[in-house]
Amino acid sequence: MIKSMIRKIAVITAMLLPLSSMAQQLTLADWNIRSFEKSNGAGQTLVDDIQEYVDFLKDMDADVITLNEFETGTSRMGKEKMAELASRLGMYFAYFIKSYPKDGIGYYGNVILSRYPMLNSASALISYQNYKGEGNYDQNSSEYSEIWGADQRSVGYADILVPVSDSESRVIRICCTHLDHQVGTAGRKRQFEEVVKFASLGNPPYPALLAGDMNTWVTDSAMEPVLSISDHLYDNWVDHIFSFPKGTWTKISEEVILSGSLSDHNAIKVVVKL
Amino acid sequence: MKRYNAISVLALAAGLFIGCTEKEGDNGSSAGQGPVSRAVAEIQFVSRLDEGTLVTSDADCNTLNDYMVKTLNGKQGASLTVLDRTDGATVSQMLEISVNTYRWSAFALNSVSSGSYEGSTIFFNQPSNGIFSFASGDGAYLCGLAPEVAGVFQKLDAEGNIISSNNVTSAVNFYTVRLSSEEQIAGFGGASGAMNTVKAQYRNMIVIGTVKNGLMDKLKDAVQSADSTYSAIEIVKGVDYTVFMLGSDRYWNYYDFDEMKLTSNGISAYAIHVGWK
Repeated sequence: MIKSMIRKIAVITAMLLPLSSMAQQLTLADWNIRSFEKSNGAGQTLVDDIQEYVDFLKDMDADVITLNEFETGTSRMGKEKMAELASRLGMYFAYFIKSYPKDGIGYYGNVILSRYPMLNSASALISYQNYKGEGNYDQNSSEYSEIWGADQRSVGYADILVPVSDSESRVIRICCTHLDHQVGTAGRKRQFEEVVKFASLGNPPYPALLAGDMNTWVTDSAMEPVLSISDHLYDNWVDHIFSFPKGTWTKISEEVILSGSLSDHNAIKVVVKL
Repeated sequence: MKRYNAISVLALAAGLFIGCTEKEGDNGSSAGQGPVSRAVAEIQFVSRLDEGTLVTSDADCNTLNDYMVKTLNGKQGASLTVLDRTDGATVSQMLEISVNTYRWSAFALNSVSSGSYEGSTIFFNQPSNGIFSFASGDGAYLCGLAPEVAGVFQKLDAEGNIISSNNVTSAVNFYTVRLSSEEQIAGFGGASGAMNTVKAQYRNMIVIGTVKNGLMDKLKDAVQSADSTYSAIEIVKGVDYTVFMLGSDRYWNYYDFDEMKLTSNGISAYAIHVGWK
């Protein structure tokens, strides 16, 4: 009974503390989690227990986490991994951005996790054609990949109610995407344009942050639709964080967190304020 | 388990009920003549219908988990379930139930006030393309999504006996809300209220939510003044709150509900049977 009460008090405290400590600044972390496939020297192995991933993410102490390459509910995963991860992280508000169904019973896509409640959340598929026709979502031909990309991609956002004082909250928009790795420059630019349009990043209803694996670098001209309307806050390899509108957010700190064998991507983290 | 027919609301629902039964061939014959067809679905709404949060002990949580996992048989036996007032410490437990049931869930914000918030958890069976909230006066929110809802399409003979039944699913624009004051009801109804804002996009929306006891008539009036083709129907009255359903008689019918008392301290699961056209 006492253990149970302590657990409850801990949960309640975790939910109330941010309200009193005031989220005048926000910590956003982004990571390509590679479907919980850990490197084993010769390749990758799906982990049975995600505790190492939970510990890695928990150490970031982020208010919001965006994740790419998130597989869930498939037969090999066994569970709906987003809810499991959110529960074990104590980030109780989560949204899955579906890219495509996988294995008949599961899904593949992106995730937004938050300490704070979500007012709205939405996702959309980025335009895509597979040479095998409708209902095929990956392993495209090289010709089609150049135009549409190898895999079906998606974009999503969550409007999060972030407390800014003991009695006031402010809504911010967190957008997450994972763009294709084989699409040509014109196709990649179109993917950026679709991200901007779907999340209204050109004139966002709330101050916005975009995070994810863009599969390109900041010098790529295809990134112009995003770069022209945002501040590029941070990147590591092909993972980026942008803020919208320009000049709205101030970056307090930035950090790359080495993920070791957990993924082929390191995580990136920024602390920002409005 | 108790079954409650819509007798208490029959006067209001009569037109709705008849409207729900689609006549074979639509020959204009009156209800009761010839076979009719209807779609019936069940939406579970679990609540204490009081001012508190749903879960107050580990025993409550275990009971809810058993209800979701065993009684409903996870996503095999349910397509849309609302657990009312799952804010506070309860939020974490809802995620555990989501994992145990292999179902998706979303926290539906019901109200925000002075840095704290209240809400419900909606369980559904596929990832959602969007979950949206609409302010409804004084901190309240009308919140919803469009999950696939499973039901049965029935054909009935002239005596009302089911002569055939087929499983069907339909994406339903479902919303929930908790209305606690006249000011919130005013924000819900009215020309530019939350109801009309959602209705402008999804005329076939259905709302199953709660309203403070004593304010049901105010809600009915507000809904009618916003759009006279929509009705708020009282389903069941609890300690402090009343469960209601809202929809247009062009799209929705309310049939009845079954009540399953899950705990001796006030948690009930209401299996609400509705039909779409």
